[in-house]
Amino acid sequence: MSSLSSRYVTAVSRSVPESQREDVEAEVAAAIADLREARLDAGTPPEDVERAVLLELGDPMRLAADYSNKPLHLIGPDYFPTYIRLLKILAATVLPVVAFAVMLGKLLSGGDAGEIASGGIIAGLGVAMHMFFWVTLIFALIERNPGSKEAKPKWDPTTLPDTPPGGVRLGDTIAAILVALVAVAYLPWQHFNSPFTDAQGQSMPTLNTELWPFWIPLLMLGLLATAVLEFIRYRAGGWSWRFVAINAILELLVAVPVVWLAATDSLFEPRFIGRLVTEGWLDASLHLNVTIIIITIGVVIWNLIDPLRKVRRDTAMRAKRVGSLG
Amino acid sequence: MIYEEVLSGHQQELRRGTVVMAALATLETPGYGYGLLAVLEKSGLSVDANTLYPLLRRLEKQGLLDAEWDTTESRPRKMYKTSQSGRSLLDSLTAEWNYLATSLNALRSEEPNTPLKELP
Repeated sequence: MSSLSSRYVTAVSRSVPESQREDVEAEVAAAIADLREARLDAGTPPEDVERAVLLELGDPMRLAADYSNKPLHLIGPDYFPTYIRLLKILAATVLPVVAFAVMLGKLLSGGDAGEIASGGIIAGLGVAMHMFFWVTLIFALIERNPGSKEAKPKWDPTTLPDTPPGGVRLGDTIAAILVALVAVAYLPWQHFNSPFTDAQGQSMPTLNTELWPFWIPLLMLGLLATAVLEFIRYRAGGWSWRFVAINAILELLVAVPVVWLAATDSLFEPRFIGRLVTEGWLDASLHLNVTIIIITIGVVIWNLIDPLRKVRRDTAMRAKRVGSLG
Repeated sequence: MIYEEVLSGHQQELRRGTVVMAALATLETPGYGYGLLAVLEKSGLSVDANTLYPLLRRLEKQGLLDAEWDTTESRPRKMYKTSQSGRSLLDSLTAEWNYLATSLNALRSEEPNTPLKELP
């Protein structure tokens, strides 16, 4: 037997359990010999025969798995649902707890904001990789344990998750109103009570003083209106097309000026930027403006798309509620 | 073409179980792996070599085939022969096969939608 064939036989026999090795080896060798002979008789050029036969038999690991009935997958359909569910539960519980604990530790040991954030992210990534690896390993081992087939996990209808509630949740509404109100309060506060001081130690605003008397009140008005809309929407039980339209107008009323002002470099107070530059942040103006533009556009796009996703569901939900009451 | 892919997928599924029957039926007369492969090929039930060889071993392990190495030829070959329990399994499978065929034919020959209409 030539080297390719004997290498193939070895490769197959290496992947079957010890007890069957000798037998399988002999069978595969005989099979190769027969297939060769048949191909030679059929007129295949002798130099191509061996290669063709081995290609016909295919990947030796696969053939070995067929011989010994071993799975060719890491986790099969019996365990896959349980595996995914466990991963989800761990990702939703252990992951945030560990990340939070690490961040708390950094905070208590006096780390700055960057250290705290990066510590949390790195710890989270590490834990995620560990969880994924070990859970996968354990399930792969269970899959390969012959006794485990009887202990197939059972599924029970009571474990079904709740259907997502239609309409608005109170928590979401409160969060949205708080964000809007904080932003409304920030606009005058940064002007009169800014924690930043110029080189002379005098308090200076972060936003351009020239934005008074028009732009800043406009922004405050827009944000206030957003808060009011959130409240009314909660009372009405979710999105309707009219809310979607008003929401879009309000979003653009706030976002377009902010993006425009940032793009024309007139959003921030020049003294504030100047101070940052003298502190060594040479590109402060560029970085801040670009950050503001990106965040604003991202938030606006989300706030325009999210209602579109929810409006149908909320409308149907309201109709159903009215129907079941009536 | 998508239809052809779908068709060949379903055909493969349908044929999968028939290989066992074909092997058990053919090996009533003793034979070796490649011989069986050639016979099946000729009778239109072509099977891949890398499916058939492991299958023969599985059937042997299940006691449906008797096997022994034949060393009288120029090189050793494993000769298989359908065992007693292999024969009775083949009978059961054949009965099942005929039952399925009858049921399917009955379904197809009836007025197309009556069975569905009779459902409560």
